[in-house]
Amino acid sequence: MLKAEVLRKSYGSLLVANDVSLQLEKGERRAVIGPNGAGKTTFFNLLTGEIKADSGRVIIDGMDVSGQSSDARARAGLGRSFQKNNLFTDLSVIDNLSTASAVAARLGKVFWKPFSAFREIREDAENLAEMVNLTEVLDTPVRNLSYGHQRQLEVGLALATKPKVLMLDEPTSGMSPEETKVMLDLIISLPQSLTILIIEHDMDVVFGVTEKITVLDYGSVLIEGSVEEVRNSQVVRKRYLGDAKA
Amino acid sequence: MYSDPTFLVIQTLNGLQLAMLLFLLSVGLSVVFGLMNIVNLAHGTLYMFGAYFGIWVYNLTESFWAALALAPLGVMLLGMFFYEILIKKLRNAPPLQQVLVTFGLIFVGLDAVRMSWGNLATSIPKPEIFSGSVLIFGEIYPSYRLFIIGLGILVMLVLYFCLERTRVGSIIRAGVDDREMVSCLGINVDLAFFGVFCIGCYLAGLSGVVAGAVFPVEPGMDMSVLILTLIVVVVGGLGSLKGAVVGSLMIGLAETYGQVFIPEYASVTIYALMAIILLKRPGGLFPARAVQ
Amino acid sequence: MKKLFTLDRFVALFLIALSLLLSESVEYYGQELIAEITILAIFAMSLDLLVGYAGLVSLGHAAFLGIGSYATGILTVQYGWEMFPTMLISIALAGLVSALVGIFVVRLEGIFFIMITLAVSQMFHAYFLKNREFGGDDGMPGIQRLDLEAFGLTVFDPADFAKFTLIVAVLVYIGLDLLMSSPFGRYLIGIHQNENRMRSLGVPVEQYKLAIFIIAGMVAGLSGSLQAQHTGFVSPDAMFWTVSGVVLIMVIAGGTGSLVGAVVGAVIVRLLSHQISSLTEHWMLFMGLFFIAIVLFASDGIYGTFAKYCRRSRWWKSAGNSSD
Repeated sequence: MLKAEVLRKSYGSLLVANDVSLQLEKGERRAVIGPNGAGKTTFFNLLTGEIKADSGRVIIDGMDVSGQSSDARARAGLGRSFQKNNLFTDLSVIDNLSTASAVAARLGKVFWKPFSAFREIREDAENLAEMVNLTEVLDTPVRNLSYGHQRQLEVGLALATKPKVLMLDEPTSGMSPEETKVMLDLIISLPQSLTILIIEHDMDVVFGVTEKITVLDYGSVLIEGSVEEVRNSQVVRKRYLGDAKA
Repeated sequence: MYSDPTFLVIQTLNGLQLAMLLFLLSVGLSVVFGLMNIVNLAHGTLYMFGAYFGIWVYNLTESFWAALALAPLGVMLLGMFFYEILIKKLRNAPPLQQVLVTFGLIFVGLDAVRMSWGNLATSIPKPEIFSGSVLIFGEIYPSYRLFIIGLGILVMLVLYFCLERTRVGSIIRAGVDDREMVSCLGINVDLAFFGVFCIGCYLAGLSGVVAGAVFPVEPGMDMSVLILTLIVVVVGGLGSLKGAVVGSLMIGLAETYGQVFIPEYASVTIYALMAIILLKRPGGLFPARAVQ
Repeated sequence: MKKLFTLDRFVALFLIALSLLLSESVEYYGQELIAEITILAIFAMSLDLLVGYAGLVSLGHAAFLGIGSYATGILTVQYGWEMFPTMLISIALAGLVSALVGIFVVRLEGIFFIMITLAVSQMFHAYFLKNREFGGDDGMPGIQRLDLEAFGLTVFDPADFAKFTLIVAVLVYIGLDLLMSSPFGRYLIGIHQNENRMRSLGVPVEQYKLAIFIIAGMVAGLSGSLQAQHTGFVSPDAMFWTVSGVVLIMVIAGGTGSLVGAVVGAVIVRLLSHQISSLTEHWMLFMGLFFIAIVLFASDGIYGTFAKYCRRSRWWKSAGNSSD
């Protein structure tokens, strides 16, 4: 479903992605972990095209999107959430979601019909809100939302485009344990057919969501394997999990 | 006539003269832009005030040199006043607000000049020693223009020395690069920026006095230079001395050559030049900070 | 959910009724002023599409007004065209030029966008200033008005011409109001709010910016054509950058992001400058201070503040309107 082949990116002498490769099957859930500065978000940005790779290829559902812009890759099926909330802050929750649903329905060239006449978009947005547990704050402007709710909306926007691959960048970062629990349940409840790539620091979330983990360090893949394999890996223990008591 | 080398030299000198005036105007604007993220459309107004202050001082003292020494200081004081009451508040405002507030200042400045000095065009008499001409390859050339070129080069060298060789200069360069980092080092960046703003105002005033002896001094003289100055800043890239130097040379020479060699297209040469440069390099030629 | 009778539309109706009433009752000068303000309002609405909806702060919008004016002047005076096709061509030309400009400028952001639009408009200004064929700095006189005998309007009568401009303004308002409440309009709002997010949702942001840049240019061209007919004259002054600055102030003064706001801004700024200039010859000083005050102390704009207050107040809600 998603294939990255030897992605490489450097800023001057600083190599931030060193021939990173990754392959996700349909419905697979994969966590990318690694210490701070390991290049996880950079890897995400290389996949989505927000950063242009120096070399390497990205293939989404059999389609080579390597040379394409980030919006084209999104249309090809990549949906992402951001590590730092990246929302339409002056709009309400429902307007955030319906905007994203309109994008998913490719309505941008419709200029003669009022947006409010598109009942199905509104319904889509309401369903999404329910999916990410935001039904009771539908009309609240984003800037008045709690942080946890904003994080949920972040995931909601990524889901709105009906992606083939959902990419979540630390969905629980900065959350309280209760909020984290809500988010974890939310991710678990997503349809099994959806391919998910998730960057996460919270090991409970990682182990709760996925069966397969890729460990990044210094911009390259340290190890890739099942939860058990990674848990038992000496390399990882030394580098990363040493104090995670996993 | 166009192939005559003497003619070419003369025109190049004319271009250099304009370039130096533009440099004096743009360097302050550019560094303030790059350093404080402040867009000051009223920079041309400071230039106009420089010329009028110059006339004022000249009328009192009958000395060009007194005007040259004092008027820029007056402009600097004026700039400091506006910094305190207005610009300071706008430091973190979006560019739209900065543009509009300083746009309002242009109107205020224009009418203030009209109220104080009237509508008629005047000029500052040239100083005695530069009132004559010199012979260049047998052509008569006003020596005052050479003085402008010399002054521009002098300011360029002084600024280069200050920026590259002094501690204050390194603070400013670092501040343009990464403001937060420099603040973290316990350096009062705001004070350094204020200093840069003052120097920018001073140089705008200086160019006003200097230009006041070759161009008519009248309300609205600010408008004609403002656009050229902004183009220099955008072409050169925000915040860098090198950008201001290269930008003013390019625009000054392009404007002058354009008028002489392709008069029918002269009015659009510099705009075309700017468009081409921005297409290739959206951040200008030598921005102090890389544009993402 | 948008209601049919939003506050904006309510105020728009009120303004139209008021101007129609005034166009009958005031004297010659007042009628001329109504036409002038109406044309300015169309121009301000076109700029608000960029500034208020798409977040593109242009400081060179007068260029497209000027192109509309010059096209109208050149085609009718020098080529003897009929006015109606001329108006259509003027609008199309303004659209074409804004497309050519837009392709280059929509990629730039923030201050660079402001500067490049300013420079491009000055380029057009410089071109027409030097071009003797189109009158140079003297401009081009002798532009006629659209013949509307068939509709019972004699456009040489200032009241009738004011009505004609009002009708055009209403049509423009309805068209743009529809446009902005469409999905296309929602995309623009999204781009204004968070361009990067729109991109990562899959929107080719530049294409939409270009589209609205062209539309805004066309509407500005229309207002330019009307202005040329109104004054019978066009000169490079019409596209000088301060004209763009003043209309930007109008949009801000009224309140960005609402078409009525732009209209209110145009009305207030023009009336104010008219009043001040009749009181003192130093009107620029006061206008400058007014501009500064508006930007510093009323960043929501006059209509924006009013609308905010109304939406909070009880009677508006009790009239069945939720906040929209």
